[in-house]
Amino acid sequence: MINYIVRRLLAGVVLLFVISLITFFIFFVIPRLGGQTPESLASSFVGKTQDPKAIEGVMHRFGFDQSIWVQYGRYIKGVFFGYDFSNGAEQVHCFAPCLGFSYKNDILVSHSISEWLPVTLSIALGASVVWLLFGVTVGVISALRRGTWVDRAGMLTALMGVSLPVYFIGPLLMIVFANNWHLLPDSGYVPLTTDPYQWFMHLVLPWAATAFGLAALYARLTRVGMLDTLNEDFIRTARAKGLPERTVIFKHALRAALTPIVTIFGMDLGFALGGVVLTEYVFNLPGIGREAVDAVNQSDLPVVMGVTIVAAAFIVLANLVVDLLYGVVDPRVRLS
Amino acid sequence: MNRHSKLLGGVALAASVALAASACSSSKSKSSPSTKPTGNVTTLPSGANSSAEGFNAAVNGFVRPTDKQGGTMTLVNRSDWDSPDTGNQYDAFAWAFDGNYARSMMAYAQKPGVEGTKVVPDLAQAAGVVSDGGLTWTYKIKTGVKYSDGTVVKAADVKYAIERSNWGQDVLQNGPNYFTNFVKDDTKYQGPYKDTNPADGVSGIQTPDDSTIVFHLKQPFADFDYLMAIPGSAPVPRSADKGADYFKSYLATGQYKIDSYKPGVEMDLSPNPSFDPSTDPDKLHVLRASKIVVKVKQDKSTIDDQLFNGSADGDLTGVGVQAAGQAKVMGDPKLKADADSAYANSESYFAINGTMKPFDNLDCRQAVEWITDKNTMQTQLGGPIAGGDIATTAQPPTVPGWVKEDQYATTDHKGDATKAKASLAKCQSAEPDQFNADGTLKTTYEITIRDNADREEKIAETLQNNLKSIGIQTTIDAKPFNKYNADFAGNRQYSQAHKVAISFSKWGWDFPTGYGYMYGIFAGSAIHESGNYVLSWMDDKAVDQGFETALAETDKTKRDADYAAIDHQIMSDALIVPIVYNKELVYRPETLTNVVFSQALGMYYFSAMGVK
Repeated sequence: MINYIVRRLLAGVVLLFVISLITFFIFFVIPRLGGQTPESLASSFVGKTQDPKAIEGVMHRFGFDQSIWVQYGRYIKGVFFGYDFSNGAEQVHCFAPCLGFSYKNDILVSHSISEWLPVTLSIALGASVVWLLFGVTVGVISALRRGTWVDRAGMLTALMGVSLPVYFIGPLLMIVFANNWHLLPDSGYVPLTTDPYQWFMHLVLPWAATAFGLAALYARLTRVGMLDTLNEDFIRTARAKGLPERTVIFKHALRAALTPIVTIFGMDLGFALGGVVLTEYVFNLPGIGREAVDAVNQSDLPVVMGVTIVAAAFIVLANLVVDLLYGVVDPRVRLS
Repeated sequence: MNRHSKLLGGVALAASVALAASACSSSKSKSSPSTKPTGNVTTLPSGANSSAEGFNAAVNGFVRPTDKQGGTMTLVNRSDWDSPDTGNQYDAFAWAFDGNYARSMMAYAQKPGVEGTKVVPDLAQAAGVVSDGGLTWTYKIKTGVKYSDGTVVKAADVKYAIERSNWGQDVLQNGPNYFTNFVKDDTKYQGPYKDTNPADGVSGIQTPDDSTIVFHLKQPFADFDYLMAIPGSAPVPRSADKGADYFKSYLATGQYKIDSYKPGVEMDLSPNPSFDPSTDPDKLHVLRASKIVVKVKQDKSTIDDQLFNGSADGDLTGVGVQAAGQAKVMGDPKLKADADSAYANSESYFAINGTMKPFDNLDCRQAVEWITDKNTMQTQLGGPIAGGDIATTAQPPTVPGWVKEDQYATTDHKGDATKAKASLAKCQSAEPDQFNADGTLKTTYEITIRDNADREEKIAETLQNNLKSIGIQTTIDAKPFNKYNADFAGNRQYSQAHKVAISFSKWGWDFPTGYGYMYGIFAGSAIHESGNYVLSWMDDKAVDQGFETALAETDKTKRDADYAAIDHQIMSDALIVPIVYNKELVYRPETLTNVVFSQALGMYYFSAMGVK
């Protein structure tokens, strides 16, 4: 087991390295192939004055005047060992894992991510609980009440959920619950450590908007999985042995039906932790996704790199956890 | 009297009448619960001691004037600061907000109308004393002004602040660097970040004692007091400077201090305990809120709702309400009474690339002038209330000394195909290789616009249709807003490769003089290979000569006339097609106090504002 985890972690590191290389290539090399020069890149970070001295200063301070490979080498060195950079007045050390500093804000990327991450974690983890709980529950009930109005109502709601994107359902929830009924705040984020009640209240709508579509998907998957499992021989055997129906459903049928749910949950959670972009935009939440999109628009490349690597790390980690959970959920699976 | 003179005259008259009427009948002001003064008003900077009310009230006077401190003022903003460091910023909203936590040497008068374009002393005791034929400017700073850490501000700190923001652009790259153009420097100072010897500095700036600072100029520059109103003149002690990181530990001199600033999220300010009101006799820094919270990067679609439902007290973005909000405000008398339609001190225009054949020929450029249907474009930009007045000059009418003129007058500003075709025919005679036999141009040209505004695309389509009607084929290409000047319209390589003949631009001044508005977009010496804002790309010697003449003129009236002559020259040379003098419909919630629209800043004077 330990060997397996170590092997997977090492593979994850290699994967992150490859991802960093691809990201770097896309955002640093391709623009140059398209004719962008270090000067023109630097000039987009200089105010209206476009003072040649300022452009030269930016080129030097951000390293645009160095070769692409030197820039990439410095970046990777920073990730593993940290590096020193100048704020003009003094040398500042950026400790490993150093993801560089934002060209736009003159702030360490790792510091920025540490501020955005709690927001994204709050949305993703909270929403994941909601979509898993509601999705699996509705799916199980629909499977057990197959063909009844309960099943049809559940699946109709699920169809609606899959069809309504966050950018539609989000503003709709805001209009009804925030602007009209004034039950919840319409946007913004309050840190959990500042005021847990306000943290919760500010996240209810983002959780609902994020979870609605995914819960619908999980409900449909759970229903199909349960229906398949309920027709398996071992369920018939369990019932023939006289086990209570509750035990048959929850201990045998649901457990087997959960395997694909766990797989997709790992992927979805990993993606969500990398930034629930639409939710963050709709509800004005300063999370990783929103900031990553802004960074792309502003050519703030170190932020793009940093967020991509962090998001990729979440997906790698989530997949590892999922693989480990297989062994727990399904006894037939053994990790080696 | 022409239309714009009438307008300005009307504004001035309305302001006078409003002030006089409100002074004579204070009972009328008090009859409206939403507009009565909310505190004991003594001597506001404007001298106003009564409240203006209704639509456009903050353009003509003070709305709910007060010196009383209210609660927490929550402001929202679409974007974020380029930097809160006053020596490293260029954002218009930042300059309108800085007065809350920084004291520049001079500041714009907190007055409505044209009076608000004048500069008054802030950290300085008085305006600069000019000597040596306009080559020496001497200022005394007020005594007893302290930073938020309790240390006393010295003249050397002002010198250092100006040196770092103007000569230190290798590190502080965002702000303007006007001082390097005008202040003499025999030492070729490299700025405080390359030259770390504290004894070094710009030779043309001297501080003979702790309260005196003297500037020696290369050439007379009569607008120098305006340079001292740029936030970069707010003092910074050398010992506290952290270069690009200084914004994290900014030492405030205003009535507030920055408690925290999280980029992309929020800035919080609270009263500055070291601020001494006795050092502010003109009341430019009055605490009118117990705390200020600025939420940045707010979604533009939700900002108006936040203002209407009371969850925000003001919009720091300063671009007015959205299209849906405009209809709501104008359709509801109560909301309209809390709104203003004001000049944004900027102008929207299409620049014609005078280096692109055949537009290097004046007649071809004039054909574009004649054919443009500004009437339709005005409607597409939001009409006269939220879009602006039709423009015919290079400068907006809020620049002091502006002269109304229309060298390409057409009926209802709808364009004149006959005159346009005549100009194009003359151009064809001079440039036959560029034309087909039927009088149309051989090449298809590009109209470049920014990608952040649907309205710009609409007026570009109108121009495209106008040009097509006289045989000029174009394509429209929308480019990223934040790279527009660096990589596209303002990049010579791109412009030439893509045959960019016409580029949209919207420009606001750095300070309200002809130089402050026009130099950066028309002077030959302001042309850059990339990051260029002179989108006509023309090194127009007549325009450059005009600036030389104006800058040497010490008489303000004559200088303003010189700037008007430059404006006339620009339009004679058809460097741009002016579209509208931009106006914004801005909303001021009832919670705000002491609201006045600054003609100099083109938005509400945010450092004068408070809440109930």
